[in-house]
Amino acid sequence: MNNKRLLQDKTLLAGIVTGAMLAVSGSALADYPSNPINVIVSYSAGGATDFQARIATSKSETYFGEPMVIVNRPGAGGQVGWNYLVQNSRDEGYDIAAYNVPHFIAQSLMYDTHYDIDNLEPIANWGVDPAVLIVGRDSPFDTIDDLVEYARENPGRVTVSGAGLFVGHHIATVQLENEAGIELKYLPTDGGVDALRFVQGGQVMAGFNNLSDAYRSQDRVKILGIADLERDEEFLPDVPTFKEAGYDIDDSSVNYRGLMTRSGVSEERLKILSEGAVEMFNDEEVQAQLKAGGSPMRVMGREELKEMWQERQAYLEELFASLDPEELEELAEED
Amino acid sequence: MMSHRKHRFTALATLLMAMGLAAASFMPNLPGYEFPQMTALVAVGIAAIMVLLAWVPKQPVTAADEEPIPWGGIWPLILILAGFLWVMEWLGFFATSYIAFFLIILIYSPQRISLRGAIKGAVITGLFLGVLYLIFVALLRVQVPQGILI
Amino acid sequence: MELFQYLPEVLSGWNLVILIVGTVVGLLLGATPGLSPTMAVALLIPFTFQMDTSSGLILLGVIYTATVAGGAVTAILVNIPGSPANIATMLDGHPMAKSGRATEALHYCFISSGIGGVIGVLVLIFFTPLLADFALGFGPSELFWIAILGITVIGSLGGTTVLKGLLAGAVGIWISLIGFNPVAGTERFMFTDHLQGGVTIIPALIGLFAIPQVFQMVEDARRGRGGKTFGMEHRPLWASIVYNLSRVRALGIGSVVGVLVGLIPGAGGQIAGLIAYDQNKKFSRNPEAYGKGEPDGVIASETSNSSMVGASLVPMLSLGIPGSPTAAVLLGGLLIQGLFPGPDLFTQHASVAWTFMGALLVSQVLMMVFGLYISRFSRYVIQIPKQHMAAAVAILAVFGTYSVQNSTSDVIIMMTMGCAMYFAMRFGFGPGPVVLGIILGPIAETNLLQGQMLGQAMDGTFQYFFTGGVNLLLIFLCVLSIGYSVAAEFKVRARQRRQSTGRTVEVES
Repeated sequence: MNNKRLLQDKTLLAGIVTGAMLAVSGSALADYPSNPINVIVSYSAGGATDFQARIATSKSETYFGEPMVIVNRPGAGGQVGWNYLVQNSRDEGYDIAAYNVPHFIAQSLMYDTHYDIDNLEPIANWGVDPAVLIVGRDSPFDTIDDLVEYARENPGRVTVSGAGLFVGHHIATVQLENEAGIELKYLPTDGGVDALRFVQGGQVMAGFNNLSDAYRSQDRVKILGIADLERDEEFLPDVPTFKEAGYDIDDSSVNYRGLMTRSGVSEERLKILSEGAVEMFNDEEVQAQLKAGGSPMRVMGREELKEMWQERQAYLEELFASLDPEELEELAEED
Repeated sequence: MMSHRKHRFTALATLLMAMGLAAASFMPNLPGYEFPQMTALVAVGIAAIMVLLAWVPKQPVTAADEEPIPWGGIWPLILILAGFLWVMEWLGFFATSYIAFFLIILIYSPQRISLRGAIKGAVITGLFLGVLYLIFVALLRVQVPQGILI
Repeated sequence: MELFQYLPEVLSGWNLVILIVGTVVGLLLGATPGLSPTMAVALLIPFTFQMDTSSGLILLGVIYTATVAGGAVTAILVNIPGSPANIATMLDGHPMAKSGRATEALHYCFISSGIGGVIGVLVLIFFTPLLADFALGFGPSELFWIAILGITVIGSLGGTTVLKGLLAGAVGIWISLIGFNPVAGTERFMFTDHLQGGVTIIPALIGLFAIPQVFQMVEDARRGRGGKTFGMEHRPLWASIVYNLSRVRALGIGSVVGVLVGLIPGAGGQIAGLIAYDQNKKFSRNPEAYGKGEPDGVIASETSNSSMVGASLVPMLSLGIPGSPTAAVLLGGLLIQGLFPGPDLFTQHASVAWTFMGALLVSQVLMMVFGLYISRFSRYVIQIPKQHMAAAVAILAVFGTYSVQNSTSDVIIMMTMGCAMYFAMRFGFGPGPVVLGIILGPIAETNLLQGQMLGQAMDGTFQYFFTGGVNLLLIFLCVLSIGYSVAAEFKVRARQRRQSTGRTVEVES
């Protein structure tokens, strides 16, 4: 009985709130956000994206006044979570997701996904994670050249693991194949940690992996090269870039991580989200915690990100066009 | 004899279902379906053996492991569960749960439906959901589907 | 020994409070049908933000330990396993309860859990660096054969015939393949958008076990069998302890299997209980007693799934590879605290790491003590009228499914599978093989596909899967397991035939 009255009160309250919302909508909403914000992470709990997202959003209550709640929706290299964002979430700014560039852009080009850069809105970027070439501790390869030479003599017999199809690691592999004129066998796995396990256990000869993950397991792997424009002075000052080693590989496989939402969210709310998130990512504690995990930071706002997304899209279109269709088919068919 | 025929019927239905899985696995004719195809073929194989065994005369394939479905008792529950899914997102989890819980204990109570029983049921339902709400939503901040109510 | 250096910290002030409260809360959450250990650990992660690092980890560790053990209570009393780990416990635990030995079953369950748990944690403490290399040795071919070995367990999963069990297992595997191809990333069998995320283990487990039980309970209530169907007998604790300790084979098989399965990364530590149960049954002189209330079944299964907890943390803490969904969530909690798996964890963060492992050890003992204490209150649980129990289980099933991923699709999948299972059970199919298939299907497929790719780059797929010591050993075990099941089936059938022909003759004459 008591309960029922409570329920009635709730309806009444809900009615009032809806009415108020209707009245206010259109004008600037000073009270956004007034509910917890859901953050979809398209990878399973414990992976690099997951824990970085958790750390990066941990100060949400300070900067937004509301917590950000992480919801893991793993599957198909991220497709499940991002499809969910554009298909099932509401455009009120309470449903956002962590993105990985170039993964989601590449997937939107190669697969029949519901999302692409036109129906997603960037919010802010927190980290950059370049792909690094790693081999097991006991591997005979000590430099990139060793590996390339071996691959030249044994085409198709060098196995390279990475965190899935069309993720940064895969793109780096394709770039290396094109640049060095070699043929590698790319093995997509369920995620960065799995790909790393294959290298550590000697199941594959080499692998491309996240700098942050490889950095933390240097007791079991050797890092041969970094697919970025410059060396990483902070974490791996001794590891050469591919350019230095004589392979013209740029930074297009670098894994950018940040927050995005579906299109349709009002410009005011996007602004609130973006500005708040930039401040949050610049928080000293957040920065310190992310650094402890070996994740290089680069905080970017909305405008900068829009540009970056476009750039990546254009580059990836070009890269995939340069692959001959047979090779692509083989990639999709590989089993 | 009766049960013998029933066994054959079960075996045939199983075979049909397995063939349905196989059809679903082979129809798309795209790469990436090899493992489901293998699985479905194994299922068809097992079901075929079951059918063969069911036709061996005078030997029950299985022990008496099949029971009739008590339709008379379960159809209200099926309706309640289906209704639950139907209404949940629109009405909100706790409101829907209240109705479902109340209906189940009312319908399946061994006593006849009476006003006293209904009031008692409503109170028990309220208590159960109240505790659930306090522990998980108020304290642990679990999210539940929210509709026009809670 | 570092452990003793940090043990005082574990047992001091707040940490002890957290341990005790965490144990009790974990046992209660685990004992609530529909709420999984994965959900419990995930729920408590936000609370660890406000705590200091070691307290936060202690909370997560103790909840993991206690919920797995608590899941056995529902398995025994209500026939609904709290987590995949408890399926095997249910097979003999519930029959024991129905024949008036509920207290005894609960005693064995917590005593064995405690023993297994301590063994698992000791393995974690003493052998982590050694075993990390062992864990890394498992590549796609080995994991594929382990998945196949897991599937051969179906033969002894209860159910009525091996054939129906195998068929249910195959259907389970097929169901697990809905969603996206794990390697190529292409869509498969997505008949509706609800199936995008595929069928994951927790909705499947809750649906397949809890929903048929709801049907069963309302049916009982309607027929006037709504009261309690069995009582809690009085049984002195020491008698249980003495008997439990005398079952050396069940304890041994349970802990060895639990530790091995827990160590292997990605093998799904969840099947440890089932494999141990199966092995113990095969070694038993009296395998027919299993499934009808054999204490050894409960002991082997519970020892195994608790020793798995500690062992599954070996690859997680040293390599960052979680062995079960719950361990994955736990790993998330670890990373947020700024603790990264690897050797650094034991050097740079030695105090946190050792406090955590010390706390796990203590939590195993606390779990046993409080579990035995709490099991006394089970008599109130079984007095709840069936219709109330049914309603509560139905609501909790929806609640527990939704809150794992905040997904309505999962709830729909859970309900659909549950109702379908109820009808399938009327035709002699059991839910155990289906769940096993759902757990093992993706492991088998992913590793088969990856193994094929690696094999092509090396000396050929066939050679990749059929050479190497570990592969051959696993294949041998698979053949042995299948051979045993077939032989056992023929024996049972031959005896049935003798009996039934005997009867026919009587009728005719």
